[in-house]
Formats: sequence, structure tokens, C-alpha cells
Amino acid sequence: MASQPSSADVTDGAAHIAPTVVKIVIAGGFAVGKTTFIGSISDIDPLNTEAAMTEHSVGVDDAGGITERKTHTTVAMDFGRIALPGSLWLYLFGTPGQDRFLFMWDDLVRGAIGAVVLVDTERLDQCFPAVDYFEGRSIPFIVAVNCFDGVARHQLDDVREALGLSPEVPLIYTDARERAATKQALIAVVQLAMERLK
Amino acid sequence: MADDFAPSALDNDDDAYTVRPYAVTGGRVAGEADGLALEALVTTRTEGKPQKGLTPEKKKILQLAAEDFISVAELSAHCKLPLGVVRVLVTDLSDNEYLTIHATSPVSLAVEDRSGITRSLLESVLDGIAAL
Repeated sequence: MASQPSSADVTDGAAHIAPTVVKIVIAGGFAVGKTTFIGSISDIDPLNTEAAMTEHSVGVDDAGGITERKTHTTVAMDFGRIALPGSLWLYLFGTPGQDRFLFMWDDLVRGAIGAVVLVDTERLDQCFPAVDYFEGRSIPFIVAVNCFDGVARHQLDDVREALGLSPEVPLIYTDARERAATKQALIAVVQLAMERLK
Repeated sequence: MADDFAPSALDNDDDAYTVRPYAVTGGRVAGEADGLALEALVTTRTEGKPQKGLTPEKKKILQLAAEDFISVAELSAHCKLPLGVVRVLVTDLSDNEYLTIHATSPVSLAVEDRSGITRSLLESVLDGIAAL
């Protein structure tokens, strides 16, 4: 299937067969710890890439007139990579923080195993766009409450209620700084994706 | 770093481009290149096709992809060029047989299409993560 390299790949001088690539998306609001999460488990230091775009913005100028202008802006996203046995490369892509860049997510999510939505309980509302996005597209996702100080201040049941999460969505505590914790979060996503296959 | 790789926008550490991004692609924007996954792996072809006349950006990509498999996203990060630009350059280099795009990723164009994600693949990923 798609995970098998085609014969064309090995006939043009490549010394070895290309790894199979999989990815998990790390989503959540601005400064919720996505890059820290990725960095805690990535083989490489998180890299940063940009998607340049032109935005149309409409505003009111000093004279009270409506102006329309194009602004060149860049959207940064961080990502990491983990080599797994069996020539598997797992990429972790962090979503751009601001929800006005939601339209870019299709690019990130296409072909992904699933997603981790990181939540800061102080700013719960910041993860609403991510939750809505993955729910709307039937992408397997878990919600992981990032405990910045290592102490969980909110009961998970309260968080589930506040987010309006359905009971099928796994909700866990994590610590984006701790490899063991991020590993558990990734395992939870893959397990969920497997359950969905049934 | 190769001597023939002139210092240019690529060496800037700040966010400003000294060359407007799409000047690098000759003004072309991604069309076909849009379908190229961020995680698609590429390698430089080994026939040793002469690189004379290629832009510094293309040479840089070929240099990076000569070492090992490298993703489009990593090329973008290392070249400090936007993804859209790198997609166009990589597609171009592939069309002109300078590099190979390896379609080993279970990627489909529809976000909802998950047909490439098989049970055996997920089992391998799960075992791999658990063993980290």
C-alpha cells in the first residue's frame, strides 16, 4: 500500500529505501507549551518553518476612511522528528498558535495519525478552535492538560465539562517538559487511532 | 558549506528576507506543488547532473538532500525559506531530475481520507514510541 516504497524509489540511485513517514499534530493555543512538548521527545532540536502569506486587512485610517491593504505576514510553526525502529520517522508538527491561521491546519493534518490538543487551564478558551477543528473532521485527538507547575489545579472532569468534550475524547494530564509524560500522550493518540479502525 | 553558495537571504538569522520570497521561485506560486506534503522526504539524485545555472537556493536544497533523506519541512527550516517557496523549488528540482521525492508517506490529499493509516502501521508506531 502507500506505506510501501514504490519500485521507482529504488531505481534512481538511492542507496537505501526511504523511511516510512508518519506524523502527529500538536495543537493548542499560543504559548501553551507545544514547542516544549515537541522538544522533550524529538531527536532533533525543534525546527521552525514559516509559511509566508499575504493577508488582506481592512481598517479605518486616521482620516476616518476605510482602507484595504495587503500585509505580508509569516506564520511560524515548530516541528520535531523521532526515528522509530523499522525505518519509521515520526514527525511532530506544532500548529501555528493563533486561530486565525486555522486554514493552514489542513496542510498539517493531512495524513496525520491524530492530534494532541494541549490545554492551559488558565486559558481554556484558547483550545476551543483546535477542539472544534478536529471534531469537525473526525481526526482522532486527545486533550492533554499541561501542568506547568507540576500540580494539577483542575479536576479533569471540570475541564471536560468546561470544554464540552464528548466522553470518547481521551483527557489526560501531561507535563510538556517531561519526556515520559509526552511519550504517554503520544501513545494515547496512537491507541485512539487504532480503536477508530475497529 | 559549499563555496559556491553565495551569502544571501539564506544566511540571515533575522526574520527579514533580503530577497522577496517569491523572487526565488521566479514569481511562480505553488500549484501542483501544493500537494507536496510537509513531511515528504527527498534525496538528491546521485547521477551527478551538473548544477551550473541553478540558483543558490536550489543548490542549497540539493546539498542538504545529498546527505540523507530530508523532509520538505526540514528543508524549509534549514534554508530559512517559506514552505510554499520550498515546495515550488523541490517540485521543480524533481521535474528536472535533480532530486527524488519519496512517496512513502501514507498521505492523501483529503484531510478526512485516512486510508493510508493501517493497523500494522499504527502497531509499529505504537511499539516504537513505547520503546523510546
